[in-house]
Amino acid sequence: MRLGPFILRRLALSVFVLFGLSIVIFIIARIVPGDPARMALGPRAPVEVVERLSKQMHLDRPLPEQYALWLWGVLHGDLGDSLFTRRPVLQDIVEFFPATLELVALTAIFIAVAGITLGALSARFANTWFDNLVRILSYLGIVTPGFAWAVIFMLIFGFVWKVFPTIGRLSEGLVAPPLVTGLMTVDSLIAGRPDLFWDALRHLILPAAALAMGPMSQAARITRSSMAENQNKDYIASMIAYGVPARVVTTKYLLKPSLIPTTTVMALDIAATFGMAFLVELIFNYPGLSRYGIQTMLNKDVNAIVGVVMMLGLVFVTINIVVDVIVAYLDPRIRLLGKRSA
Amino acid sequence: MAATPTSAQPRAESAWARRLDSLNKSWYKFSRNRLSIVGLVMVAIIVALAILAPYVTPYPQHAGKYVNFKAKNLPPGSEHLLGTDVFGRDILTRVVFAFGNALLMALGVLAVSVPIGTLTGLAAGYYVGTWVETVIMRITDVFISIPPLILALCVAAVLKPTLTNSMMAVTVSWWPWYTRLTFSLASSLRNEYYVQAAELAGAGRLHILFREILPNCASSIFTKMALDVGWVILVGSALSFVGLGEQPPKPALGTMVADGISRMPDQWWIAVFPALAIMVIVLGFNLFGDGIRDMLAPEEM
Repeated sequence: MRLGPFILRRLALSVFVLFGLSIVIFIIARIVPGDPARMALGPRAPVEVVERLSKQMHLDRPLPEQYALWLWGVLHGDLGDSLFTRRPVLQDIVEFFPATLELVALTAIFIAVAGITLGALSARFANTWFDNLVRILSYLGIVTPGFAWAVIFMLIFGFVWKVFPTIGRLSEGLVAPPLVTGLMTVDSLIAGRPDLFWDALRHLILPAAALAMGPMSQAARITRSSMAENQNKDYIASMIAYGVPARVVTTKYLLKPSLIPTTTVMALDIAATFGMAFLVELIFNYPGLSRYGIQTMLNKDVNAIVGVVMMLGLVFVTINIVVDVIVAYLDPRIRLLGKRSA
Repeated sequence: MAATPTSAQPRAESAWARRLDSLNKSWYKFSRNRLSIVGLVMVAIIVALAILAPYVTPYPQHAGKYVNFKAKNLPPGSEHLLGTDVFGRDILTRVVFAFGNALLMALGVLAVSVPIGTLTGLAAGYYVGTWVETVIMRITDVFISIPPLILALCVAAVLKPTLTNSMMAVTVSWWPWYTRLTFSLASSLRNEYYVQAAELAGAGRLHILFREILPNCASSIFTKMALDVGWVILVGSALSFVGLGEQPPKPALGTMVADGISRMPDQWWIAVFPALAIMVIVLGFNLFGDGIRDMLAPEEM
């Protein structure tokens, strides 16, 4: 299978999947018990006002018609208004998403660097005290929910040692750099303010570490086991017999092919991080899309729920496509097979 | 599939011997990894505690509506092994009762999502390449196009927060994984010779689906179930952490952690012990699940 048609097919499927997701989530958001307009305006609002809002949001129309109207809006870049921030949902998403993206990006770096390093080292020093230590740590990492790590890190590094800040994106009194990308760290570098960059980065460390613990442990375990499996293959034995230095065998011939399964699992875990970010952002009072998302859910803000979920669905589906392409590229069997049949 | 007996021994005796033998073999495979036994013991203790909660906990009445401000925020001590919370309730008691709710949640979610996933997966695998497969598998794709926790949060948030509704929320995001698993197994088993032979012999569709294909998917499905108990509990605790699970005053592990955060770091025990309890229960089921996987894995040397 060639890469071009393969990507096209994946894209077509993704459009279909997102369309399906929008129907599912639209139905879920509309089975809210109680009138969303009444909830938004409060119990004291006069009936006429509630009815007007209801009409304005098309809540009085049948469900398929509501969906069609919503879809029409989406195709024109309109996700409707949030019932609570009273602003267009799209505007809210544009404001809050970069913060979450920044957080997840740092989490991904933690996961990849620490996970692969720990996994490779414990394969290299298999069955030593180091290997056992990593094994115990990764079990702990996997079984502890991200929100529990958030609480633990906050307690240790935020209150007992006070090394890292525990609230928000920037320390109080600091003014955010001019908005360019919305990523606080990148924007402060663009503005030429290394002090702001450090402050923003320090705010990211604890939540990112809390989110990274589980996936990182998973990545370490898979790297170790797939390296241990490849270790016994004949080509490694012949490399050693040829007198290739052990370091080169480990990094070039052992680690590289072992990264294929790790990449797949890691990428899916990173994408799933957007889920746990819902809780971790809440704990660190970090103004990202996930904190916004959980608030809209708890407030039953129907338009915003649909908007946030669709946005995250889009991200999730994109990451999946990227992973498939990376794996196809990493694995010469897939890559070369494509050339031969082309 | 069991092999036909080749010896001339009386049938009944050899059947019993074989059963005993396979039981022995299973236990050997399960116990080869000492951690699996640790997991088994942990699971046994947790289940026993959860069932016997009203009899083994020191203050069973603290699991419900109970307030005693004279004993509030007591640190761990001989009266209250894990301390008391802001209402003066014994944390040990509440943790043990919460175990029961967590297990109930896992049971409920798996009891619904496994049959749904297995049946849809079987159907898609049997009718592979037809519109049945397309419809089932594309619907599955839609449901896993978003991290399960987000979908579960969404469903739980729009419904009234109760234990049953949170179970429903997790089920909505859980069944597609069983569909996928069963589909991948069933679609490849479909072309095995014994399935084709049964078809040629005139076996009905139901016979082929449930007597030929399903039994050969069973061990993979059971393995996934054993490993999933811990994950369902983890997701459940995340839901109750934001208040979308069992409602107070009934105890839920996630809720207890959330309630304790505002008391950090001075009254650390209120949040830390329930968090540890989540780790213990998930760890136990993970180790146990690994053992089941070793036990049911096809023999390879």
